[in-house]
Amino acid sequence: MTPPPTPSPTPPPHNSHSTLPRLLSVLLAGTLTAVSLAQSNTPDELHRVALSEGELARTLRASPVPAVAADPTNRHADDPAAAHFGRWLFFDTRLSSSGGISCSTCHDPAFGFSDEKEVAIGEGVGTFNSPHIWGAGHSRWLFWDGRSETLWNQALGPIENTVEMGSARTAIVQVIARDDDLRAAYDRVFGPFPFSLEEAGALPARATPITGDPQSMSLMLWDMIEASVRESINEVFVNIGKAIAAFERTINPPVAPFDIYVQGIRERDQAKIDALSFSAQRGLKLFMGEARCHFCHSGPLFTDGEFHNTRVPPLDPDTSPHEGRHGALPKLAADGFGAASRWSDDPDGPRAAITEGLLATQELWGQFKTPSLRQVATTAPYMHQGQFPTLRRVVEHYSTFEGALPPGHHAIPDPLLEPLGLSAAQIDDLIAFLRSLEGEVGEELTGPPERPYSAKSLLDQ
Amino acid sequence: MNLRVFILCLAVSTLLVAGGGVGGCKDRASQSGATPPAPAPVAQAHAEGDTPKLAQPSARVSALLNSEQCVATTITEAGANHTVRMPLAVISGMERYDLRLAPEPALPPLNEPFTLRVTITERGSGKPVPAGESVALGVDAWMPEHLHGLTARPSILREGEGVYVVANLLLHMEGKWQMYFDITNGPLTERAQIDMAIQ
Repeated sequence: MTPPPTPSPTPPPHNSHSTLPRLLSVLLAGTLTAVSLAQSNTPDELHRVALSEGELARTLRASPVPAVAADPTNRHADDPAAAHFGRWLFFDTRLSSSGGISCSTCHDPAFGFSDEKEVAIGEGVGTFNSPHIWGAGHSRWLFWDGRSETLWNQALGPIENTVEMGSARTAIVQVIARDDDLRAAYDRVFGPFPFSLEEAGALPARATPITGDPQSMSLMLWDMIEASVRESINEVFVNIGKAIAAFERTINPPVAPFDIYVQGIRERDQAKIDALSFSAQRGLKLFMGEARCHFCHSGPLFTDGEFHNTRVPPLDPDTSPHEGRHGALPKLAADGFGAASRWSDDPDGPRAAITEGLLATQELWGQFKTPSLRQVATTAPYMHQGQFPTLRRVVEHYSTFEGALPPGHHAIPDPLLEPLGLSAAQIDDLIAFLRSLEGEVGEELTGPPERPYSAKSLLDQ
Repeated sequence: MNLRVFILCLAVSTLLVAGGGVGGCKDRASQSGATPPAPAPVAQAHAEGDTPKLAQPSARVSALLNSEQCVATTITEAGANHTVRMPLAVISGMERYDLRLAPEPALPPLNEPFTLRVTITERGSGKPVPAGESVALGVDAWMPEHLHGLTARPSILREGEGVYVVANLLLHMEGKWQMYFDITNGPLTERAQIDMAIQ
């Protein structure tokens, strides 16, 4: 970073703040870092840290967060009744084998839709950190290794994973059949629930084809069910995933101070630009420039949605690094609920085409998905196994790579990953910027609705 | 990207791909659909003053690279916050084919799938490369600065004689990309290559 080439002229007058605090802040910040407090070396003469052309373009690309794009693989994706039902299901612990775990156990709104734990703990202890789900509706790939390519498909995985919710699709059918409110909600969104209470009760409670063990009791029970009944069970199960996905699409990041700042740049509004402290503005400049964060954390969600190996060692130093993205491709190909499957509402669409065109190259080994940095200050700990407890530790990792996996060990890391050698002040600035990506969360996301269906949805019926 | 650097990169990369053969860009006349004329005389190319100074490509390469279409086009769009710099025409490494490249949308998006319509003609005759079981196009891309390529293989459909629709191209990262077009005709595969930058 270099200071402005010429002494800055007098700051322009502005309408919402007194001059004295501004002068003080200028003096303080200038004393601390002697960097780019460019009051007016930008054409618009605004009082802000100057950004290069590239830094400015990347900044403008990063705001606002757009509406979630259509998901043709889920015909219920934007149905408010489906989202309402899905919001209920998201918080419903009956979807787990013990009756004590819901989606929200690990994706808890109180912790930024994560859980404050290093690795997830549901019915058992998981392998990975619970990723936050802010902006999940924008994701090209789901899970840390991207082993799922649609939000509704992703929502189904944890329900039957033995260390997450540990349930089975027949049990889910029974939970709905036994609750009049759930049945009413299901009927409203998807049409008549295909099982009577008696029919559902006759199903084995724990039957599913999802198991790696051919001797599994749940698999044997599944195979004993008549094919047409299995079809109806799968239909219910998929619809549950599609309802949860419809809710998750509403978990779109709120407007953050960074977004106000970008509005200020576009509208030449100094008061809005002031939404970011000078420290955060210097952090933004680093992020979009010299620190190279933007290469992977790009766009309005601050992620490219793809996979990289950033040399983060495993949480348990006695274990080998996880294969990451490399191991996900066979799972995607074998997934019976994939974007190209008959359960998709757009099996020939672009989502299916990209999945079919995946390249199983060697560099995938050890790669994990770039997480969105929206609301990131609320989602500690960080990295795929929660290896780093604070944002400071994350930034220090990229600054020094101390303790990092050696380059070329089990993986080919991106050559971008050279130690940044940041100063203490620069680390503070980057953290200040990362904190500016947090906005205020609406109450509608913080808990379940009163009932699985809304009164309006019944009136509409 | 600095124009001179771009030209130099293209010169080097095409030489590498063609295994010592000659490749480069075509001239403006051929992009508009007319029969491509012969490469510009060397003397004229040098007179234009754009010969790369750092490398010493053969006179013939210089001639090709200094034809007007050798210059990458900067594609912009009102309101967009990114630009793409790429040539919209290229000659294959052994000079058997002219390729014209038409992105759809005209400004290829960053980190979103887009389509590239590739029209391939025989360089000598200007005729479309005939459709047939023995003719195929392969497309791939690579980020030399990051040592990785595409995350997904694009889908390629032949739309007509010499016209291929390359769909689901996804350039997921800002920066320099090399894109490769492998034209297989019977037992021979010949590569055309472009350098492009999305930023």
